[in-house]
Amino acid sequence: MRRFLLVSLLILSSGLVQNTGLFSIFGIKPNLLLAVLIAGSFFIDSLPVFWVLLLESVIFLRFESGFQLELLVWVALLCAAYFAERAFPWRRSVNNLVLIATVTALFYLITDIDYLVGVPLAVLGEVFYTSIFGVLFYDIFRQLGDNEENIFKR
Amino acid sequence: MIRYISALILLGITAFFLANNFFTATKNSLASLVSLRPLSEPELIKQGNRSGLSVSVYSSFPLNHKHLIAINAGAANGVGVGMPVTLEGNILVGQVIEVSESQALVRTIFDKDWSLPVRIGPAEHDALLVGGQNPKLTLIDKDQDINSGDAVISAKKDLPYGLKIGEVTEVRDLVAQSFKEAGLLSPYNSKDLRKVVVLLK
Repeated sequence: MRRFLLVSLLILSSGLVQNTGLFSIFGIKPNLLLAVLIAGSFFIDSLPVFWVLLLESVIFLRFESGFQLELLVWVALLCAAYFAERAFPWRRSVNNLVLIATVTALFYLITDIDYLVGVPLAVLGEVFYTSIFGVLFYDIFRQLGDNEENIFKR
Repeated sequence: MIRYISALILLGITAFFLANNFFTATKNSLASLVSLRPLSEPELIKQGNRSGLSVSVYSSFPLNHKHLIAINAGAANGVGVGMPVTLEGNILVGQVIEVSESQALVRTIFDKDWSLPVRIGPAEHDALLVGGQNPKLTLIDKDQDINSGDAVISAKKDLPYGLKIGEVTEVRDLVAQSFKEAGLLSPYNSKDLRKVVVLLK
C-alpha cells in the first residue's frame, strides 16, 4: 500500500512539474510520468492497480479538449510495457532503461513521426534526460521494496 | 463473471478519462502554483483604439512535440479563437487555438504546426516562418539581401501587421535549393513566459 501511495504521489508531483518548464533544458523536458510509471511497474504486481496509476497520469497529460490520440497511445504503450518488462531477459534495472527508450521512440513514431524524424536529437535528449529520472525512481522503489513485502500480488 | 464485470468497469473508467477534460482546468491552475506563477486575474489594458488583456501563463504542454501554453483567460474575458498573443503587446508569442470559459490554449511560434508569412529587414523582404524547436525563415528569394540581425515582423492577414517576432541569425544560401533559408532568434525564452497580452482588437 505504501508503494502504491508513493507511486501515486510521485505521479501527482511529476505530472504537475511536467506541465511547467521547470526541468526544461534547451527546450527539452524529461518525461517524468514515463519514468515513474516504468520504474513503478517493476514493483506493482497487479495490473488493475497499475491501471489506476496509469489513469492518474492521463489527467496530467491531457491538455486539449476532445479526443487526444496521444492519450490512447500512452495507455496502450504503458500497458504493453507492463507486460514486456516481465518478458525481457535482462536485469530489471536494464529493462527499465530499455523500456524508457522504446516507449519514448514508439510514442513519437505513432503520434508524431515528423517530430521523430525531424529532430531525432531532441528525442534522443529526451530519452537520456528521462532515463536519469528513471534510474532515480527505480532506486527509490527498490530501496523501499527491500523492506516491504509486496501486497499487490497477481 | 466478476472478473469480466470488473474489466468492463475499468474499461469504462478508462474511456471516461480519455474522453473527458474534467480535471484539465484544475491541473493547469495547480501547475501554475508549482512553478510559482501569480494567480492574478486578467487585466484589461487600453491604449488608444487598441485593447489587450494581460494574462498569466498557467502551464505548458507536458510533452516535447507540441508547444502549446494555457492562459488564465477564456470566453468569459472576451478571448476568442485566432486572437494574437503577445509579449508586452508588440512581440508575437502565438495565437489562440482553443477557448473554454475561463482558460484558453495558445499555439506558440515554437510549435511545428505553426507557420506564418513574415517580412524581413528594413526592405521588408517576404518569407515564411516555419515553427519548431528552432523556428526558421524559409522561401526567401535568392536575390534578396538578408543579413544577420535583420528584424522579422508578422505579415499574416488575421494578425496586426508589424508585430515583432525576432531577428535573423545565420542565413543559408545553398546552391541545390531554390530559396534561401535563415534561422530566427526569438527575443524571449518560451519556458520563462509568465505574463502575456492577448490583443482583443
